Amino acid sequence: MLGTLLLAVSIGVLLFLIATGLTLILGLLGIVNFAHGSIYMVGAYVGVQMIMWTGNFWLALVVAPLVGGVLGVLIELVCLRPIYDRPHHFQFLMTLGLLWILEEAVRLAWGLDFRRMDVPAQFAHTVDLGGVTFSAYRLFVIGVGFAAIMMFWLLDHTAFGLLVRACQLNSAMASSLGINVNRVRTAVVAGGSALAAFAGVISGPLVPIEPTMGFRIIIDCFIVVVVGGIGDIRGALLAALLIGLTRAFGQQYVPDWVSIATYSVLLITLIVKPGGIFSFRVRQS
Amino acid sequence: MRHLIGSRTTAIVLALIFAAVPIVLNDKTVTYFLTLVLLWSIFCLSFDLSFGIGGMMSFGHAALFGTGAYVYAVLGVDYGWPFWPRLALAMVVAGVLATSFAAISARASRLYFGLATLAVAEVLFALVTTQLRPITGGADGVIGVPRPSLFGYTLTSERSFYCFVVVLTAVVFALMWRIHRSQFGLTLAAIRQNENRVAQMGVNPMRIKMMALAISGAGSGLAGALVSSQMSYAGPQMLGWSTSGDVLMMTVVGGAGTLLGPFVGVLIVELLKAVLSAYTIHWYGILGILFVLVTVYLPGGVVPFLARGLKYFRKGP
Repeated sequence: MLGTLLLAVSIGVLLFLIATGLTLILGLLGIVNFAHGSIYMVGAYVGVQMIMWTGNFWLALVVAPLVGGVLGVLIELVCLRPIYDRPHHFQFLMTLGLLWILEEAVRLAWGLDFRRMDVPAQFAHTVDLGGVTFSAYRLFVIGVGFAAIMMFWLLDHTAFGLLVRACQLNSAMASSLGINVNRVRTAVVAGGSALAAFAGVISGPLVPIEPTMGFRIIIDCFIVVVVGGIGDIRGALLAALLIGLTRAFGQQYVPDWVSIATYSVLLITLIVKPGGIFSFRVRQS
Repeated sequence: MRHLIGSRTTAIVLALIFAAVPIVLNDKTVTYFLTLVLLWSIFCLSFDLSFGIGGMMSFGHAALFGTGAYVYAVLGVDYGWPFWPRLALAMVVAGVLATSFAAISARASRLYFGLATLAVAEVLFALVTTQLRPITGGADGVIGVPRPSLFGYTLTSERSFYCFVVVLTAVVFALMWRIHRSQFGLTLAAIRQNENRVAQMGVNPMRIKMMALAISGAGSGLAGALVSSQMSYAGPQMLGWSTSGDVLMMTVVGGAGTLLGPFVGVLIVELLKAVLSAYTIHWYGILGILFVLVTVYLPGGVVPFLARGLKYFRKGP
């Protein structure tokens, strides 16, 4: 029971890492970006490659976010910015096309086989917690997750956090106050993408690394964003943990129903609280 | 309002050429390929009704396609129903499932609608591969799906099946043409542009959307049933994301909201698939690039672009 709970938390915080980038980018740019999941995937593959070249997991953990951040910014500048004024569903469709392209690019570079990443030597043992043996690596993941949550909490209270929220709420006003909204956007895109790639490396030892992992994670991220509310980091955390719980407990007790349970969370939220967990309906007279 | 390029005569001539090609060529692969193209065109035309005209971007149309396929397949293989009732029920079930999409659209729009429909499709996929395994054969699918039998004659040859599909496609196309021009179709397009305004004018948008989705569903179910009939197989991939993604890609590339768009889109994508896969295994990425280029440079799709070109050609600058 405790083991499953810890597993749930580890899944949840990983999802949080990726989904937060997505929800922030969505809140700021208004574009739903399928390619965000691809950046996560690229991060994982870059991790594999770095480990193949240098055998050093920690180096991979540094390099992958850099690659991810650059890739994210490139996508934003080259593909998204030119079509900002198009109707939203075009941008949406375009990022879907980008997902397909990146998936194929990964296949081109690394082939069709599943890749594996070994758990770094420092964490390749188990820890005994209250009678339950738990993988040390998963505890590390949870630790990283909490560090990220702290970081976001801190950021929220800095000037930069204020800038992001201002641009999210009213970019025209923010711009007229002298804030360079484009630069804030690029910074958020870079940060979110770097985080996604980072999460890719972290999940490397835990999941099979294969070309469809980008799509699969983005769907989970979308669920987190919808359930948590767009642009809402608190909501993203709760939603990510909820999904983590669903997946972990589902896998443990009712494996046939895991998918159905996860999607049911989405459908139920849409019916009961379409704006997300922390939203409240504006009353219509 | 996007219309057919050229005139009605062009359409009829094209249709006759299309119909005659396999009969003249007598090549099984070509016939099979063209049958698939026509069936997917029916699927895309149906999808386009709710997407191109209605503006509802569903990521779960595979659910309707696959449901049609499975209902048709299971009724044929396990219960031995005759052809027309099988087909009819497949269409009805798919149509009813589609109205549930409409219910979703009441609570969700755009991204949320897309995700929710994807969720429905994935839930169905999961159910089909796990809980409903005794009926659906799980991941293996249903094999031995029978071909249509008309007036006692079973269409086992590719050519006869193709002729049947050509006639069916013509009927669906004619229906869609009428719908596009009808008051219903125009209202649906208006809903896409400004739902509030339409509601203010006294029309119930939910009813219109529900009708549109029902028709879209029935058409998708029809396509799914006949594809399973052609392949003698119905499998869970028909409910999967790649099917939903494919129909979206084909419709957008061809031209959403047009009548010829779906055909052109299916042709382009299927031809590229066939040709490219001979040279490289990475053809899907090339399709992705094509898709991105179309969304950026040809947002209306290939057909409107060609139509503008043709008009320019005819009338001059």
